[in-house]
Amino acid sequence: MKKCKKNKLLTAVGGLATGFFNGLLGAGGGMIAVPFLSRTLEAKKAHATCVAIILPICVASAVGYLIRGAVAISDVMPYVLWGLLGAVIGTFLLKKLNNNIIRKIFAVFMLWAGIRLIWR
Amino acid sequence: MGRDKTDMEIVWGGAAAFMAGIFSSMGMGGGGIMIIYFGLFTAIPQLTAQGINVLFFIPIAALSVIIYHIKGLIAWRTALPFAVLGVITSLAGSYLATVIDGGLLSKTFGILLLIMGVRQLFSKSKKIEHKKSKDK
Repeated sequence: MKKCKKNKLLTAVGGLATGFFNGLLGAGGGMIAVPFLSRTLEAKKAHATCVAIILPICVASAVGYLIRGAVAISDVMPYVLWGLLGAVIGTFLLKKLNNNIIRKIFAVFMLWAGIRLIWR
Repeated sequence: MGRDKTDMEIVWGGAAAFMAGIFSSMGMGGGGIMIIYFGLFTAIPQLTAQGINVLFFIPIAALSVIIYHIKGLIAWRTALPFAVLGVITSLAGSYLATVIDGGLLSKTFGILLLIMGVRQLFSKSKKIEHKKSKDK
């Protein structure tokens, strides 16, 4: 019973934090959601469920950005097809989630980009 | 943004979108790739980059969700309350993004990347997954 309550509380905290940061920074919600989801779901399901959570959050964030005139639909059109192609490949790569080397290389890339964005 | 893109921008933009699609659909924080590309290699403002990123993610996530649902990988009962709360705060977050300074937004995004990078660098998802599959 106690565990159930704790899980509900964690879901609430996770949802609130994921939405806020994804809205504020336009990305990164997945990184917040996955650790919360991993507590109750196995890794592959946690990652897939995370995408289902981020989808409505991105729709809401996009509405916020569009209403305020920060972006226009036409701005994103040149990138959508390439992104979709990558997504199809990505969903099949998820089967090989153990691909730790890719994850580590991506981590180093994020660190490099983070440092450049902070100290430019 | 109403300006002409050079050939190289089109090629690199397409490459960034392709990589972002792969990592996004894997739930690995691929969304960062597009914003990093815009922030470091183009003159597009941080706020617009973020707006493009959330719009960009919608069709990709929709496609991924369909595929994952067919494979039975989505825990909808967990996803629903999580997403409802997230939608509410995302509206607050996106509003805040439009009123704070772009430079500060960019640096905050940089800090998020550092946290994400460190987390991913030291993550033990492989071991956890192995342990769980043994438990079954």
